Amino acid sequence: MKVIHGNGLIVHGHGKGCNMWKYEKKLQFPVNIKNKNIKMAKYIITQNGGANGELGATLRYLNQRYTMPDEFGKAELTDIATEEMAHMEIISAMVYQLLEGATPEELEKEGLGGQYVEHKFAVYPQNSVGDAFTASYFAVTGDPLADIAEDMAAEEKARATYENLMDLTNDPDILAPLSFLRQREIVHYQRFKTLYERYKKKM
Amino acid sequence: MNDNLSMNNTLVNIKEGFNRGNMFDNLYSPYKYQADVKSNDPRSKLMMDIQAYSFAAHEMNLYLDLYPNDIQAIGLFNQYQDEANRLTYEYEKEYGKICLDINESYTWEWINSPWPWERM
Repeated sequence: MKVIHGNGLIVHGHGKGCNMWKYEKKLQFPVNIKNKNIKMAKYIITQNGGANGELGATLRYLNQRYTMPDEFGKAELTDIATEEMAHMEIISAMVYQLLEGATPEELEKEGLGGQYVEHKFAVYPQNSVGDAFTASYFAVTGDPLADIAEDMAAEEKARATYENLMDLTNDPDILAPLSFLRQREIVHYQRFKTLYERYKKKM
Repeated sequence: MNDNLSMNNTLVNIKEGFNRGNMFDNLYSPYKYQADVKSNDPRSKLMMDIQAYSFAAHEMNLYLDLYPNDIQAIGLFNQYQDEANRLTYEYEKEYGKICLDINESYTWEWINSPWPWERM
């Protein structure tokens, strides 16, 4: 492929490159919500910044991975943490779209008056009752068995939260991404369980 | 480790796995709702295909982190990722950048909307 080079000449480029954490301009799963729903925005934001949310998940795994005893743990925690960032983006996209076109009065009426005062229509990491995200939602013990056991519990708690959210809506535009994200918790749980069993045998 | 994908796992097809959020039939546990995402718009349809193949490759990635000698899973990872790359190339030619690798035109394409959180 022909590209413009540093000196202004048009030369052949080499295409794909890898550096840092690289953003891809795509969601892991599509979010196209047609109907505004302030109540569901208020509830769903907890999977961004709540105790069982995706921000806590990504930070938990990213910080635990340095002291994993082998390559299995280092790789799995890195890759699941990376996926959790994509999940946070899905949740944030949902909240953003659910609030689109709402008025301050509507927010106030649906229980988001505080949200409007502090953040207007912005996406802020908080739970469904407005508590801000905190690092104390997760543990990093340095003990692989304790850390992976926490990760298994975290996946189960997030799965349960997704089910609670699914109980509160009939909108297929909302249910589809929630159902996708819930299922991911089940797969991640299984990967952590395998890791836990291996470490249990070794230690 | 001598694990073999086919010994303990049944995979579903790309579309089904994407809608489920799970490529592994033996791990699947539904709740209330089965997604069936589709679009008539060629742009979002192509985007969904990219998402589906990328997802299938990512599932193999998480599996292979624990079973790195499973040659069958490695083959599937390569197959899914290669198709995701091919579709991404097609999409980028038509609609703009997904991955920031090289800028082929005289304007900086990366900033163009829609961004992922905006409806397509």
